[in-house]
Formats: sequence, C-alpha cells, structure tokens
Amino acid sequence: MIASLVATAMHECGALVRATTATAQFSAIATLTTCAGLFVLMRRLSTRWREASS
Amino acid sequence: MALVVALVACAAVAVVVFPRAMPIVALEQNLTPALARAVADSFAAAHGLPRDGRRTAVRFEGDDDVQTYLDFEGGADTVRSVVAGRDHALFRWGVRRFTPGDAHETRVALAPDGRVLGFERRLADSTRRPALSADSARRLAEVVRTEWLREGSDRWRLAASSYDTKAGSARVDRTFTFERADRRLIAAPLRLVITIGGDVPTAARRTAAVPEAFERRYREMRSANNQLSTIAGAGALLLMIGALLVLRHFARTGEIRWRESWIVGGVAGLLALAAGVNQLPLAWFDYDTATSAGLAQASWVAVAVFAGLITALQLALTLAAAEVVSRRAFPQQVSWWRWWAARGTRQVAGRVLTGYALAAFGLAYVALFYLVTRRVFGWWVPTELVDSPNLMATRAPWLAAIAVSLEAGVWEEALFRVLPLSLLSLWVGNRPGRTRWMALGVVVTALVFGFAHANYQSWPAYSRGVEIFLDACLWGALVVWLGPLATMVGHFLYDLVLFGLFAAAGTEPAYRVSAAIIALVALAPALAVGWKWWQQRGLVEVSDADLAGGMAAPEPPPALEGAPAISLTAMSPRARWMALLLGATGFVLSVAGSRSPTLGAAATASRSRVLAVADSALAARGINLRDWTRLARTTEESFSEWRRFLVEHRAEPMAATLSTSYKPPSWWIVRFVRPHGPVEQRAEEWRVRVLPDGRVLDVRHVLPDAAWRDSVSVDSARAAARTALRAAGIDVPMLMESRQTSDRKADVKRARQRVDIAFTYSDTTVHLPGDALARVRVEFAGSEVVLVRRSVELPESFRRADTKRETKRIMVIGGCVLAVVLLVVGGIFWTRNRRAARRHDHLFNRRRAVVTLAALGALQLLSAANNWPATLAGYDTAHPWSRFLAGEALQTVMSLVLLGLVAALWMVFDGLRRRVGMPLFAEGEDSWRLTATAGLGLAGAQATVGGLVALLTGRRIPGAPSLDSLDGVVPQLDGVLDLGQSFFIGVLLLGIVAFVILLAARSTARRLLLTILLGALASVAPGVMVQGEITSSHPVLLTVLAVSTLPLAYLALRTWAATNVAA
Repeated sequence: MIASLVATAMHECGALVRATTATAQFSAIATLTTCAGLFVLMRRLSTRWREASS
Repeated sequence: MALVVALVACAAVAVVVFPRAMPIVALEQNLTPALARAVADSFAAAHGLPRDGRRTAVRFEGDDDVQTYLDFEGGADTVRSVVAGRDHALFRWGVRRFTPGDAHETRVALAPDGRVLGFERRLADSTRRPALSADSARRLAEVVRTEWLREGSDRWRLAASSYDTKAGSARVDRTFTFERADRRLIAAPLRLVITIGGDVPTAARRTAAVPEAFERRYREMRSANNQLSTIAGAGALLLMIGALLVLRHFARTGEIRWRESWIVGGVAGLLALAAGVNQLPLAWFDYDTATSAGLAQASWVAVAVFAGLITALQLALTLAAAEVVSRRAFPQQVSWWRWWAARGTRQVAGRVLTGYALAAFGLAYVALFYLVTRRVFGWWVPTELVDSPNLMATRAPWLAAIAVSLEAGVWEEALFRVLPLSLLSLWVGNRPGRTRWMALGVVVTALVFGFAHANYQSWPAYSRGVEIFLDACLWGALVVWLGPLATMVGHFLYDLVLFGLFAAAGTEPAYRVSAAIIALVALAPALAVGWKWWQQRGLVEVSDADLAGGMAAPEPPPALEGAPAISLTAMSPRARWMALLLGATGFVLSVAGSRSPTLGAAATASRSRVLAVADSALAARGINLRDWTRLARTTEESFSEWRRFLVEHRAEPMAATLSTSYKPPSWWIVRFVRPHGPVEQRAEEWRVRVLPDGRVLDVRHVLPDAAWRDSVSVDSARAAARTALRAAGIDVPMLMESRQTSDRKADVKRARQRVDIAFTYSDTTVHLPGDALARVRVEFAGSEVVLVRRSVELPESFRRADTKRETKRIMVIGGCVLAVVLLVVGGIFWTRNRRAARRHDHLFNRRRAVVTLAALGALQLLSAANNWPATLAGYDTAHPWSRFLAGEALQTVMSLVLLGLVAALWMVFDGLRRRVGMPLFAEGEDSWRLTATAGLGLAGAQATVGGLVALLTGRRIPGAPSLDSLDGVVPQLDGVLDLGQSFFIGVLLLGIVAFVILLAARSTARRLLLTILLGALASVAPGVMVQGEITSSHPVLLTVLAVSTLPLAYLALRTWAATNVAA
C-alpha cells in the first residue's frame, strides 16, 4: 500500500514537471497532497494496529 | 380432490380465454428452411445471381419495428390484416449463400408464402463493372421491379435516386427508391429500393418507412418501462448481495450444502450450454465473412460455454444461500434435498400437485387479466407469432424451452422469494405481528419480482409489473406456507407452457415430436410422484429425517495444514540500500522522462472557453441561445483502426497532417437541446464540435423529420453545397463529387415529405495510401445545409483484413486474460481449503470498516458529481428530461455496489495474508521507517521498469491529448477523487496474486516459475494490443522487461514481507 502511494506520488511528480497548463499543475499538486495525507493516515493506522496487536 | 378440480377448471379457462385475450398472429407458412433454400436457388439461377458460395444460411425474421408501429397505431387487427395481405411482409425468410473470407455473396428474401421479396448480390468495392447512365440504370431497375419481383409499374412511382462511386474500382452504384402511390401502412410509405451496381442489379429491398415521430414517441414510452425495471433491478441486486453475505456467514459453520447446489446448477448450466450449441447454426446468418470461419465458430461456442457457466454459477450460489436460510427459517418443511427421496409422501405429492394447479391458475389468470385490461382499460401488449421456425430448424427445438424454464423456475423462486422471505422469517422470529411482517415481505418481494419484468414490451409501463406482482403475491404466500417446491414446479410448468407453445403451431412430425418431448418433461414431476405412489400402493407420511430441521448437524471442517507457507527472514542492510537506490532511480526516471508528444490540437482551451466558442458559432447563425440548454463533454476517438492503416502503409506522418481537419483524435462536443418540450420538439438540436485548443471543427443541426423545409432540386442543392463548403473554409475546386443521396422524410401530420439531399466529395489535395479517401460530406434537410463534415474513408479491403486480424487478437487476449483469472481464482479456492490461517490479526473492526467504506462511497459520489456535466451530455432527447435525470441518479447510487467489490477483494486479500502468515504492518519500534523503505523500493522498481520501457519504446503515432479530466466541474480534483478506489483495487489485486503464488507453491524455484508463467500470460494482452503501434530498437530487452514486471513485483513483495518480520 505504501508502495502504491509512493508510485502514484512519483508519477504525479513527473506530471507536475511536465504540466503545461495551470489546470494540470493544480491537478498534480492536489493528487500529491492527497497521497501525502494518505501516507500519514497509513502511519497512524499502523501505530494503532501495533498497539492493538501487542 | 379440490386441487384437481381447480387444476382442471383453470386449465379449461386458460385454453378457452388465452387465444382471445392475447393478440396472437397466425401465419400461413408454405416454406421450410429446405424449401426456402430451393426457392432462393431457383430465383438466383433464373436471374444470373452467383450461386457458388460454399455455405448457405437460412433464417426466419420479423420486421419488429414495423410490427410495433402497426400494433400500436392500428391494433392487433391491423397487424393481422397486413400479415394476411401482400403489401408488406412482416415476416420473411432470408437465404444467404456465401464463402468465408470472400466479400461476394448472395442473399434472397422470401415471404412465408414463397414469393421473392428482394435480393442482394454483394460486390466487393474493388469489383469493377461497366458504368451505366442514370437513365439506363433506371430502366434496368424498373425491369427488376416489374419482371424479377412482379411489381407492376402502375402502383409505384420513383421517389428518390442516389449514386455512389466506389473507391478502388470507380464503379458507380445507382440506387432508385420507388414508393407505392396507392397504399401506405397507416402513415408509413411502402418503398422498394433497387440498386444497380455498375451494369448489374445488386439489390432490391422492401421497407415500410416508420415515421420518426412514432419511433421517438415509442422510445419515450419504453424509457418508462426501462426505468421501472431498473428500480426493481436495484432490488434484485440487493438480493444477490444478500445471497453472497449469507454464503459468507454460513460458510464458517459448514452448514451450506454445496454439493447438491452445484449438481442442480451444473445440470441447468449444461442445459443452457446445450441450448446455446443447438442454436449455433443460426449464427451463420450474421457471420462476418471478413473473419475466419473457425474463429467465428470458436467464439460462438465460447459464448455458449460462458452462458452455461454463468447459469451454473448463479444458480448454484443462489440455491446454496436460499436453501441454508430456508432450512433455518422453516425447519418443519421437507428438506430440499430429500424431495426426490420423499416423493412418495403425502407432503411432497401435495406440493407437486399444487404446482400443477398453480401453473394452470397462472395461465388462466394471465388470460383473464389481459382480457379485462385490454378491453376495459385499453392496455397494450404486442402481437405475438406463436410459431418459431428458427427453433424448428434446429436439431432439438424443445431444448431452449426446457433450459430456460428450469433456470427461471428454480433460480427466480430461490432469489426473489425463498431467500428474502426466509431471512425475514429468521429476523422476525416469534415477535408480535409476525403475520403482518411476513405479509409485508410477500408484498415487497412481489413488487421487486413483478417490476423486474417491467421492461417487457407493454403499455402502460406498469402493466406488466402489476400483472406479475399480483400473481407473485400468491406465490410468495405459498412459499411461506408450503415451502418452495410448489412454486418451483408451478413456475417451471408455467414457463414451459409459454416457451413451448411454438410446438403447437404446426402439425408436421418435427412439431409433434417437440410437443411430445415438452409434454413428457412437463409431466415428469407428476410421473415421478405417481410411479412411487403406484409402487407403494398409496402415499405415506413424511419422516422426521426428511424434514429440513431433521438434517444431521454439520461435520466440523477437517483440520487444515498448518505448515509455514513462507519462511520470513530479515531484510539485509544490502536489501535496504537496494530499495533506496531503486526508489531514487524510479524517481529520477519518472521526473526526467520527456513529455510525450500528443497528436493534433493541444488541450489548451478550458471548458468555459469551449462553451463560449460554441455559443459564438451558433450566435453567428442567428440562433437565440436563450431557447436552448447547453450540454458539453469531451470525446476521444479510439483511432486504432486509422493508426493500424497508417502503420501498414508506412504513412505515419499523415496522422499529424489530418489531425485538425479530417481525422481529429479528440474534441469537445457541445450540444444545444430543448429538454423540456414535448417529444417532437425535443428532436431538434445543435451540435458544435470544438477542437481541444478552442477552434470550431463543425456545426450540425439535427432536425426532426417532421420539420418542414422547402424542397430543392439536386442541381440547386449542389450550388448551395459549394457555398457552404466555401463558408467552412474548404477549397471547393479541389473537391470531386463522388456520392449523392436523396432521402424522403415523412411529416405524418401534414402528409408531405421533405427531401434530404447529401453530397460526398473526395479531396484531391489529400493523397492517402491504399485507396483511402479524404471525404467531405454536405448534408441538407430540404433547403437548409445542416452539416459540413470532413472524415477519412478507409478502403473495404483494409477494413476486412483488419477485422480478421482484430478478431484473432481479441481471441488471444480474451484467452490469456481468462487463463490468468482462472489460475488465480482456482488458486484462491485451492489454498482456502488447504492452508490454515497462521495469524489472526484484523485491521478492520465493524466501525472502521463502515467508516472506510463510507469514505470510499463519499469519494465515489463526489467523483460522479464532478463528472455530472459529462453525464448530462449523454442525454437521449427521446427521453423526458426528469426521467433521464432520475435514471442517471439511480445508476450513480447503484454503482456504489462497486464498494462491495472492494470489500470482497479486501476479504480475499486479508484471508490469504493471514494464511501466508504475513503481518499487515511491520511489528517493532523502528518498523515504520523500514516499511517506508520497502515501499520506496517496490515503487522504485515499478517506476524503474516503467521508465525503462518508456525509454526503449516510441509510439509510431503519438496519442491523443487526454481531455477526460476537463469534463469535471472541478477538473483539478479528477485525479484525487479517483485515487481512493484505484489505490485500493490495484494493491489488492496484486497482493492477491502474490499471496496465491506464495501459498500454492512451496519452493522458491516453483514460485518463480509460477510468477513467470502468470507474468507472461498477463503481458500478452497489453503486448498484443499495442502490436504494430509501437517501435523499439531493443525488442528483446523490451519483451524481457514486460514479462518480468510481475516477477519483479513478486520479489519486491517478498522483500516487504521479510521487512515486516525483521523490524
């Protein structure tokens, strides 16, 4: 799951660099931000999961 | 005894009333397939039509559109009088003689009384024939009409004429449309369209031109039927999801009787397969001669096998779920799987007899229902031909009726009645008001079942739903009272009588044999009971062991193997460095890759700019925009045929040359419609096509046939077309006219016809290879130019060869995808029954699962809301606007079922993970850092492979600029809103494949072998799809990379598993 997020983020970084319109730039930034948000969420989930498992 | 009396009385009522209540058409049939073939052959011989085709196909066909028109506007008697007369054949035999792989073929159409109605001698576009002048061709057409088809000249007048110059041969095909001067079918003109290809007659076709106003009105009515059916379909979908949840719940306790369910499902599936195979010979009539005959047959068999599998699967799953809840809810009823053993008991015999009475009652009821509603309320059902000559032409005409009745009788009873009513009974238990709850359940299930049939042809839209609802209330009550045996037998017999009625339409031996077989099958349940009765010399009471509640307790599932499926080891420091290195490489390759060029106009115009451009285009035509509602969406043409054509002829640069004129790869379409007017008014609309950079491509005015415009002569239209072409910026002197068509559109109310002329030109300045032509088409509606459009016409020879290649590719792709799916699904079931769970950790408790699904659902709804403008642009103007909106909203809500798919995938993923013994997240203090490192490595591996593949390949022709995201209300959110599900589904699918490999194979070598096999199969599909469209200077390296994608992902996942344990 982390890998999927990182892969999406890498792809969006490439899209941001190559974007020619403001819409494409905004779109890439929005998706990158969401990826970062999901990454943080996954981290919190893993912490809770470890707490529950221990 | 009372049941027997009721049965006989109902059967008598049904026999007497049914033919009066239902609009049945009788047909005087003089032909059989063999006779039709002989008549067609002698006609072809008499008129020099080719008869050298290697295969012959014969099919009986109905002219459904005309029949519906006559039925609705004139009633059943009008249909009967047309069928009995000679003006227009509503039913006809088609005889086709052809050779696979050859474009040339001969078809002859015959009336049921043996008259020749028309013919077609299909020539390839490349076939050269001497040219005839328009007058000579017309005289030849009149000879065909009067001498070949015996239609005297006094009744027919020439209504229109057209010509078409064929690319490649320059042969001129002239078409003459004659119209009956003395007769119409209500308001539909009777036409005879005769074509002279070069100097020989190539086609004669009879039509009754149903007025467009009726077609639109009928489609509007049908949309109401379909909407009711969709709403009920949502209920049926919920029931199917309920069945799956029931299976999941009871699978843990081992209470499900899988074996028996699979046997019944298997029998129904085999019958469906046999019925499909039985009708295969009919498919030759629609066979495309461009494709290989062997592949075509293989695809038909594949479709029949698929239909059989689906039937078996849905029946087995539904039966298994319905039986287990029914056993719990109604333990005092006879067990389903003891019906046969207990057939000599009073209980089973009584229910079988009730089934017969129920079927007779159903037939009597439906006859009386339509007798009353048709005569008193004027309700409408279509006229039906009882006979089914196509079925009779097969080896086993009776098979389809038996297969369909068995599936419907068992599956529908289990799904629509037994499952929901048993669940309701379990839920209600013995709480007060049980009777009221059960009655409510019966009504609701009957509503869902009844209105799921609302899309049948009938009017008012609710009529069919009401008819079945009332009957289904009785059936539901009987299921609660007696169990499902009576209704299953009743439903099966009711359907068998209706589907088997065709066997009573003839007296020839084939009809008699079919009728006898169907009757024997119908009597089978009674014979089974009667035989046992006779053997026992009476009926006995059912024993406790035969009751559902008396079944033995489930045996505990056998202990599964607990051997470790994977040995988890720590990730070495070297592996960590490798992960970081791969991550960095992947990132660099993702960012540094050059922007791939796109074809045609760049996507620089925003939605608002495109709308403004379209507004200006209409304002320039003097259109008052306030009268219109504007709808817009983007369109991308798949373009693949054009790509393959250019690659084959090494003319790739032409793609860019024509990408903003004759062959744009993507564009906006802005529609101006009037969705709130009556259906006739809604037919008119304007469509403006705009290039992605904001330039107008063309404007089309869609006019209803009834909109009057003065007629103009062909010469005047030709002059007006040139003016329109100049206005569109097209260089007129360089155009060569190659086709002109005339069509007459009927205005029913004023009994006059508008003449619509169209010209097609070839642009002589565009030089395309292989006889392809750059075309310009100018269309008129009367005197108004309604369209000037450019396009490319590919030669027939290429299209046929391409179809043949594509069919082969699709079969290869389909086979590989199916193999991967079967291997993985088979692996899931195999490991499920052979490997024990080694961990018992769960991420989702109920609350967290609900929150996650709600979040995904909210994202999905937001995504649908964002794409709402594009959804609205798909509006069909024949439908009322409010009904369209409601239908789309309902479909959006129903698409939330996808969440069920995500949940199911998660359950499979998590179950396999626990069997592998892999923790969901890394355990230990420093675990998150290591997890992130491993994730970076995996993503880096994927990006590195993707980047290398991109570096090694180049597209011969660039792709279209992607306009998808521009459709949204907030285009910037497009990626974000789709992220949730794609993220989840992608990860789950890959994880499931990896876990199946880990569990199915025990050694690393075998696992790698399995991964490479799956990787090779999975890479065939994309490989075949882009075949010929990409270039590479390192094809071997590219193939190795493509095939190694899945093994690499597997290895990386293996590393991830090790990391989790190591931390």
